[in-house]
Amino acid sequence: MTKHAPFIHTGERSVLFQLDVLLMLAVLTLISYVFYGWRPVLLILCGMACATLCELLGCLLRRRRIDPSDLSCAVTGALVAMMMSPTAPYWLPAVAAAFAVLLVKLPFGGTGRNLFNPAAAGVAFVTVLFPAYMTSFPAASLNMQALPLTGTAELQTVTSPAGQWLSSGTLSLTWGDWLLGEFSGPIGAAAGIVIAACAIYLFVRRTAAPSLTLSFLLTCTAGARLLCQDWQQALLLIGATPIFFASVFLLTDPVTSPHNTPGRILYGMAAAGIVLLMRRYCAYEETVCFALLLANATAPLFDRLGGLLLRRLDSRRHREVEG
Amino acid sequence: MIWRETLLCFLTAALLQNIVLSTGFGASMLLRTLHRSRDTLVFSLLLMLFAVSTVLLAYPIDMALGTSWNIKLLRPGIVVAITAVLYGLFSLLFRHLLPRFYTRYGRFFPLAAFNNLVIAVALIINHRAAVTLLPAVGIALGACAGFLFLSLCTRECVDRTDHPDMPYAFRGMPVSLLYLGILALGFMGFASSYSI
Amino acid sequence: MKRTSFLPRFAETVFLRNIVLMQGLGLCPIIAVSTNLKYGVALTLCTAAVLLPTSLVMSLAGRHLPSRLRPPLYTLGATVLLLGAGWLINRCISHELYAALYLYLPLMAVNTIFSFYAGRYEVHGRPGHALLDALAASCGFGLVICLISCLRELLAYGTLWDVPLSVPFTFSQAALPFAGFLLLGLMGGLLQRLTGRPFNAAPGEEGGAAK
Repeated sequence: MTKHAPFIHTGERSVLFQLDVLLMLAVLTLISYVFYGWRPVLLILCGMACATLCELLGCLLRRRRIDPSDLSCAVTGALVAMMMSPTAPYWLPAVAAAFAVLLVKLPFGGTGRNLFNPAAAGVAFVTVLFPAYMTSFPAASLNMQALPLTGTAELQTVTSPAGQWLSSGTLSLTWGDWLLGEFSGPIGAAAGIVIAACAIYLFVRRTAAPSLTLSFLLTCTAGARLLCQDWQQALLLIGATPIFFASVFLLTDPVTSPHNTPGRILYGMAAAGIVLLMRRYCAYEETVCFALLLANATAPLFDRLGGLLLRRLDSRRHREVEG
Repeated sequence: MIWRETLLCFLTAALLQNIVLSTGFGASMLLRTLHRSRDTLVFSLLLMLFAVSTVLLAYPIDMALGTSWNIKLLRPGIVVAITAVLYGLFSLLFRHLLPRFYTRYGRFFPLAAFNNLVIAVALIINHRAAVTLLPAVGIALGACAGFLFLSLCTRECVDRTDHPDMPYAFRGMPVSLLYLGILALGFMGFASSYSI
Repeated sequence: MKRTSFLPRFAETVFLRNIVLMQGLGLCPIIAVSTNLKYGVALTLCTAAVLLPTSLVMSLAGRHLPSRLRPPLYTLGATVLLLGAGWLINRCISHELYAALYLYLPLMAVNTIFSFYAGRYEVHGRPGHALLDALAASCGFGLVICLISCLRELLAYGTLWDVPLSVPFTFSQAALPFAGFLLLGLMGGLLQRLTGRPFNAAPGEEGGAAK
């Protein structure tokens, strides 16, 4: 039961997928507006605009008709901006979105043909090129205060919980802080309760596969327990970092993930393993996007493995029924 | 302790600082052996055989020869000579002990023996890494394991980019190079103080 | 060989069948050390200095050698030539250049360029074709490595041949391997776009060593 691309056809179903994701991203954008004012909204719009322009450029170069129902570029641009700090310069999501569309999506055939998650690749690219911008977040004391639209250099910035853990090995965060978003982090790493609600919506709508997210999060948490002092620290290390956001919005990309349940479970566990290895050995503060790129490369292998397992189960069931 | 160091060296060569993607050693062979997907595993195993045996021979010879300037200049030639001897030896052994295997896969022997990855691992171990023999073998094994992993992934890339929507400008080698570039970007996530 | 076929064949090998961008050969030195134009030029000259005599010798004498002895012989021959080139660079040109290329210069002997080119001419035995193809391959390799070296040196350090230039911004990360792969992929795509047809190496072109 190994399927082949394209996994998203430009048809009614794919439009519904994309609309669902955009709706949930709009909810997170609203939360970020409540926390920080118009600045994060403008960053998201920059990312979306640049991604759309790059997609149009690609259509022009290939002399293809522009498909107005294809919202994947808007989704990519929004996801890219969501992984950035609210104090990031406006050109940063634009650079990431341009890389995502022009190098990761279009050369491989466009929508539904990409082998890597474009948003994850774009964020990884700017993390390597501009690490300082990707690791400076407004202090939690600035929550519920509108950030200035320009001139954020004077603002007090701190590292994210991931950076804090990397430097000291502990997190000074409480459950209440996490649930209500009272911590420094990227635009999309908002209140944990909101991301959880988004996840449930996407699972109910069948836009995202719960087997992916749950296998990933459970394995991450179990592994994080080995790295942390107790379960609370382990759960907060997963929840209060972009790992939680990525598990709902990036990992569940139907184009770059396996298409059968056993494959998804194995893929989620493998992706979690890579995240934990990077967390243990890496110098970057946030590595979930890098881990996702490596996991995307293994997705076809897990797809085949999952298909093999399903065929074995089916034949065994068939023999039992006949017997 | 030595086993822990060996495992760390293996992980470093395979993942933390994947030798193929961080230096390009073996990248050409990776892209060129994609025609025979079923033989990827056999080629990788042969690569492992030659890499490990070259390290096992080159390491004590390096220790014996010392670090004078002339020896340093000649060291690459010594490693290539060792590989040439091993190539002859293994070709003879396989031809007599496993003739069917050799008939089918004999064409891989020179490609696996006289390979950037094999020679580079032996040179890197001496030139950069201050390791003992067992960790050096770990590096050789890790490099080949990393090569095998990349071969399987790149094979999938070739399969999945064979479709009519593929822009003709990127068909073939260009898209494979972009694929390796994005994969190398992913491996940047392992950038740390661990290095070979 | 007809004189009229020299230029088209040469141009085809340099551009349409470029050994790096279209055939994926010789990637190692480009990914690892094409961060300075000096290195690119040095490696191009060394490649030509080894590929030309090796291809010529293999085309003349390859048929007379047992097939299993050919790969180790041309590899050892190439190694000797490259060690000599390294000694010359160290003594007569620049010790720093030699130190930077120490690991990669001798590895050119086991580079896929040699095994796929020198090895291919052992049976056909046309010295003229062998020399022409070797020269064109060296030019094709040199073109790519020098271009990539220029770009990466400018982007990473803001210099060209170690001469500082006024560039508006630099990214030291351009010297990283992923940038090398991405630049090669983009150049390959541009070349295929300009030439108008994709190139796929046929399975039989895996080099004479495979025979």
